[in-house]
Amino acid sequence: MGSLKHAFASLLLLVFLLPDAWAGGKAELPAAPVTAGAYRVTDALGRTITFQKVPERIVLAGRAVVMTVNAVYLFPEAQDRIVGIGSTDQGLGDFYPLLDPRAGQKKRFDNSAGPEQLAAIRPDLVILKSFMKEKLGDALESIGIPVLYADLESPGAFASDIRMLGDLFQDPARAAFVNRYYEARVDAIRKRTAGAPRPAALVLQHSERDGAAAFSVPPVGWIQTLMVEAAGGEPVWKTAGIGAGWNKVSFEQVAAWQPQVVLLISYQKPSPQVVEGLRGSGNWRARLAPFPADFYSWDQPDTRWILGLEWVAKTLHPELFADMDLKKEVSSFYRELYGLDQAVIDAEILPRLEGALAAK
Amino acid sequence: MSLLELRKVWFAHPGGRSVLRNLSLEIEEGSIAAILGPNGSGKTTLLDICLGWKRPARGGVFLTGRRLDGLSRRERGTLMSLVPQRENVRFDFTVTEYVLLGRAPHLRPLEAPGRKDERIAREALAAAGIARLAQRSIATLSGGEYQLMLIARSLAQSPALLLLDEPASQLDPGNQLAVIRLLKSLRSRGITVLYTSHNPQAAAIAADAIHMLKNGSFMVSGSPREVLTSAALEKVYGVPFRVSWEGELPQVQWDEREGIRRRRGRS
Amino acid sequence: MRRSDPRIPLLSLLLLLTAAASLLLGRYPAPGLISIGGLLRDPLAGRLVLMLRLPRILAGILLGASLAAAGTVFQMIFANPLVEPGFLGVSQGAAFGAALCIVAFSASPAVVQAVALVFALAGLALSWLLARAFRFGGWILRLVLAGIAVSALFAAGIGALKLAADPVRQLPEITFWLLGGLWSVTWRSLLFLLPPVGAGLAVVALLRWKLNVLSLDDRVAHSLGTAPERERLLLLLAATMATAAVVSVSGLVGWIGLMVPHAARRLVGTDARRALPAGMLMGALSILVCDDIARTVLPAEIPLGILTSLVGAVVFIVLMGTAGKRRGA
Repeated sequence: MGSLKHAFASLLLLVFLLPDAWAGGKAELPAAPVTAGAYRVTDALGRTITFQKVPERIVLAGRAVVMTVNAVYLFPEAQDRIVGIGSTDQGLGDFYPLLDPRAGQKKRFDNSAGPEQLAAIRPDLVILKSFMKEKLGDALESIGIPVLYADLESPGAFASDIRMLGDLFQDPARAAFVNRYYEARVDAIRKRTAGAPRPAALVLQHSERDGAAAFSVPPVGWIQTLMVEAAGGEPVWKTAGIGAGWNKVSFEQVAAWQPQVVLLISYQKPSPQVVEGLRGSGNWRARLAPFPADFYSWDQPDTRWILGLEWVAKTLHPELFADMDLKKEVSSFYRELYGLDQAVIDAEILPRLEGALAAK
Repeated sequence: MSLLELRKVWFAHPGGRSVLRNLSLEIEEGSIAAILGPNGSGKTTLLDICLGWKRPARGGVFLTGRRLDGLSRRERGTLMSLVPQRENVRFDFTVTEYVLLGRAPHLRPLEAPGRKDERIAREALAAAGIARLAQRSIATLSGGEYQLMLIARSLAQSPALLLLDEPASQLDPGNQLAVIRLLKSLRSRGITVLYTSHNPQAAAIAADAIHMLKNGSFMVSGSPREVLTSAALEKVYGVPFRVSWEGELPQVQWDEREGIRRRRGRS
Repeated sequence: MRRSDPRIPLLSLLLLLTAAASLLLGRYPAPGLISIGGLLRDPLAGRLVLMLRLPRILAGILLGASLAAAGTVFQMIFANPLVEPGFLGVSQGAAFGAALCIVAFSASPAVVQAVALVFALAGLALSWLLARAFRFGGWILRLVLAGIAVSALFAAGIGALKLAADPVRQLPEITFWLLGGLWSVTWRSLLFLLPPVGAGLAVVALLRWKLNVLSLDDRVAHSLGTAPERERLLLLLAATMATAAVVSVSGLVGWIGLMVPHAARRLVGTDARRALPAGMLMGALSILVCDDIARTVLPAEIPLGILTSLVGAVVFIVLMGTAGKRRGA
C-alpha cells in the first residue's frame, strides 16, 4: 500500500514539477518589447520593471504600508489609480481620506492579507516595502502580478523612492519638486547649525504596560538618529542602540547620559500628557519635549520626517530657529505636498498638534 | 553430534560476583534437556549465554560445532530461538501478527513476510494448539494462552534448537501440562529443546537429560532417574524431597511435612 | 493479507479527492471554491492554482505523511504512545535555528529553512551524544532523557531570542514561525523538501514490517536474529530526517505526529505494514484539511499549528473517550 501511495505522489510530482522547477518557481513576466509608450522603472531593490502604460489598478499592501501610502499620495494623479489599500491607521486615524474624495471606494484589507486575497482585487501593480519581498512579493510575482519595492527608511532612500514614483507615474517634474522641497529644508537647517554647539539630545520612547513605565531608545540606524544629527544635535544613546528594535534602558542609564534635551515619543498616550506626568515627578533635569503627532508621530520615516526634522532643529536650537514658525511649516507642507486647502489644514491638522506645538 | 556445546564457560556480573563457574554442557540433537536450579542460580544467565545475548568471560559457545560468535545474526536466528518467560506487551498486535514476527531471521533485510511465511505461522499456531486464537489481540490472552503463543512464535522461526526460560512456572497445572505435552511433541518435528526450570517435577516428566545447577556449575548431570534422587534434590534446594517412579513416570514432590518435622525437631 | 482490506485504498482515494478539492479552494476570486469553468477562463486563477496552491498542497501532503510516519516509527521504537517525532531535540532545534536566523540574519524563508534544518539535525546529534554520556537507565530511557534535556536547552535559547528580537519586525515573524504554517511554500521549497523526505519515507516504508520486530524487547529481537540497535537507529534517522526537513519549512506543527499514529492503529490495527501507510494517508489528509481552513476562512493566514492542535486535541479526547474495542475473537 505504501508503494501505491508513493507511485501516486511521484506521478503527481512528475506531471507538475518538471516544467516549473527549472523556472525557479517564478512565472516569467511577459518579455516586454519596447513598444511605443513602454517605459522602465527601477525600484528600491534595483529591479527593473517594464510598463506598457501607467498602471490603473494599484494596490498598496504589506506591513508598514502607511509609509508607502503617504508617499504615493504625494502624486495627485495617483489617487484614482489606487484600488486597494492596507491598514494605515496607527491609532490616530486615517490621513488619506482627507485627500481623496473617493477614499471610501477603495478596497481595504488587513496588513497580513495573503497573495490570494490581493489577487482577488485584480491589481496590475502592487507596491510593497522592500522587506516584504519574500513574504509577499515573490508570491505575487509568481502568479504574474508586477511588484515594485520602496524602501523609504532614510532621507536618501526616500529621495530615490520619490524619483521612482515619479518615473512610475510619468511625472518626473513632480518628483523633482517634492525632493527639492525636502532638500531645501534639510540644507537650510544644516547650514544654520553648522558652527553651533551640538546639545546632547536623547530620543526616548515612553510606553506603559500593566501600569509599569518603560523607556527605550531607537536603534542607531533608524531615522531618529539621523534626524538629531541633521538638526545639529549629538545623539547620546548611540552606544545603547545596538538591537534591531527599540532597546529598553533604565532610568539610571538615562540620567547617566546627562542629556540636555529629551525628545519624548509616546505611541499610546498623547506625548504632551506623558511629559506633564514626567515633569511632575521631578526627576528630570533635562528639558522634556514631546514629539508632535498629527495622524502619525513625526519621528517615523513617513513623509512627515521633514516636519520632524524641523521640529527637532527648533527644539535643540531655539535661538537659531526663533524665526521658524512651525505652524507655517506644517501648513506649507500639507499645502504644497498634498494640495490641501488652508481651511482643511486649520480644521483637521493644526488642532491635532495643539499640545506639542504650544510648547514651542 | 552435539547441537549446542558450552565449554568451560565463566560469567560474572559487572560488580564481580561470579554467576557461572567453569561450566560445560553438551546438548544432543533431538534431545530434550532441562536445567534445574533454585531461583537466582544463574539459569537465565546461562540461557542468555547460549543465545549469544551475553558473552562469557572465559570459555566458548558452539552451535552445530561452530563458534557462536562466528555465525551471522540471521544464521543464528534460523538455528536457535528463545521463548522468554514474559515479555512486555506494548502494542495490541493480533496473535497471528505476533507469531509472524518469528519469521524475521528467514527474511532478507527489506523483505516482508509472504504467503509462505503466513502459512508457516498458521502451522505454528496449530502445532501449539491455539489456532482458534488467531485473530485475538495479544492483550486479551490469558497467561497460558500467552505462553503457548510465545512458543508458537518460536516454532514459526523453524529453529533447530528451542530455548525456553522457565516455560511453565507462571501457569496453572492444566496449562503446565499443555506446555509440557507440546515440548515433548517437538522431538518428532526435529526440534531440540533446552529449558530451564525451578520445578523438578516439570523437568522430570519432559526431559531426557537433566542438569542440576548449583553455585554456578552443574552439580550433577544425567538422565532423570540418575539425577532425581532425594539426596541430590535436597542438596540443591535445601529442602527434603520425595521421589517415586511409576514405570517411566516420575513423581517428584517437595516433602513439606518432613521439612516441618525436621525443623520442629531442631528447635 | 487474506482478505483485501479496502480501508487503505479508500483513504488514498479520499486523499486524492481532498487534494483536488483543495486546488479549487481559496480566497480568489472570493472566499470559497472556484468553479472549473472559472478556473479555465481566468489565466490569473490558473497561475494562482499552479504557482501558489499546488506546491502548498503537495507540501502539506508531505508534511502530514512525514509527521505521521515519524510518529509511528518513534512510538513503536520507544514503545511509548506519547512520543512525537520532534522530541529528540529536532522540533526545538529547528525552532531555535529559525529564531536565530530571523533575529541575526534575515527573515527570508529560504535562509530560515536552511538554518532551521541545520539546527534540527544538530538537536538530534546532541541528543544522541548526550545519551551516550548518560549513565542512567537503558539505551531507550537515556535517549528520551537526552531528548528532553536538549529540547529544554533550545527552548531556553528561543526565549532569549524572543527577548532580543525587534518587537515590530522580528518578533511577529518568530511567533508566526513557531505557530506553524505553509504560507511560504514555493516550488523551490518543495524541491528542497523532496530529497530528505523522499529518502526518509522510502526507508521507513520499506522497513515497516521490521518496525514490528523492533518494538519487541531487545533480547527477543536478538533471538530473532536482528541487530535491534542498528536497525532502530536507521529508522530513527530516516524518520528524523524527514521530520527535520518538513519542520524547517512549515514551522512547528504539533499533534499530528502524536495523534495520527494512534488513530491509524485504531482504524487498521497495530501491524505497521498497514498502520504506517494508513497513518501517512491520514496525516496528509489532516494537514490538507487544516491548511485549507488556515488559508481560506479568514483574509489573513491562521497559523497551521493552532488548527492542528485544535484538531489533535479533539481527536485525542474522542479516542480516549471511545476506548477502542479490542479486537475480540
